[in-house]
Amino acid sequence: MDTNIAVIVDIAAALAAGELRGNIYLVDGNKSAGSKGEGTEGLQTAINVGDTITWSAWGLQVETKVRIESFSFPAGEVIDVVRGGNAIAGYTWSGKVKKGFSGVYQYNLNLRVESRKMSLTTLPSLNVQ
Amino acid sequence: MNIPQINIMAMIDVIGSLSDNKLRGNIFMMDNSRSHDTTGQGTGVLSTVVQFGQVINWHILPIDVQTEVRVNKIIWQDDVNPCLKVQEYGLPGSMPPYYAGIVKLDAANPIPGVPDSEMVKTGIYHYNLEVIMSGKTMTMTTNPSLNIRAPKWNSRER
Repeated sequence: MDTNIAVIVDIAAALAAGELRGNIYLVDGNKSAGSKGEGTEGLQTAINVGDTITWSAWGLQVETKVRIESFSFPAGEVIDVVRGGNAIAGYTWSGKVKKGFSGVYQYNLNLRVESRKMSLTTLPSLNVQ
Repeated sequence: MNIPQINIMAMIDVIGSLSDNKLRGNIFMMDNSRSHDTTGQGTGVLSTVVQFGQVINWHILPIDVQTEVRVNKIIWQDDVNPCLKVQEYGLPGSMPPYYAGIVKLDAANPIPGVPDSEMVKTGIYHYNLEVIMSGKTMTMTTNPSLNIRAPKWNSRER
């Protein structure tokens, strides 16, 4: 099933700590399909080949913007993500899970928090079923 | 003295809520108070540590970033509302409206002219959000809370 992944950042805490670790929460809409770690930085999203995933990013301080700048999939380019957008979320990124992949693929999220670039070192993942 | 505002963010899995016919397991709450011992980050049982007089903002967003969701009401357990001026506010642009209130003042340190109704004791105050999404109203049952603590500089020994 197509799903959305929301990335929520405690901006003030992340900037003060100089890292996203401990200051970021990921949730998706696919818990019923077997996603794990909802509400944590280690979210593992259950997904099928051909499904579309859309990421959005939010600050706990809603007046401050957080943007996803880029992704990387060190274990294999399981999905091609392109930037899009909508009225509520502003920037979003989405892509379709490619054929020929199966299993768990961690990914890196590179964010821009205010003017600062920050990367999530605790890797969330996609579990392609 | 400048007390930062507390933002509480509730992310809702709208499709999950509608298909399960409940918010339990489909709502994830976080706040920016974690350095003050908040518990339950990322869950439906968030317990937010707050101080007397602090502004609390409750934001709600749909994980699918499409469905219109909003808080209709905050229901306080046993009708004990530890906040003043709890109401809905609008945001510029397309962000959904949000709720905000101000934690009452310290009942242990009465201030002349401030009525008892505007004072509250330290402790944990449970609430649930009544949410409207896709025209349907649903109420949380997981009892998140505000954990009101006296700030350290407010010691009565001073």
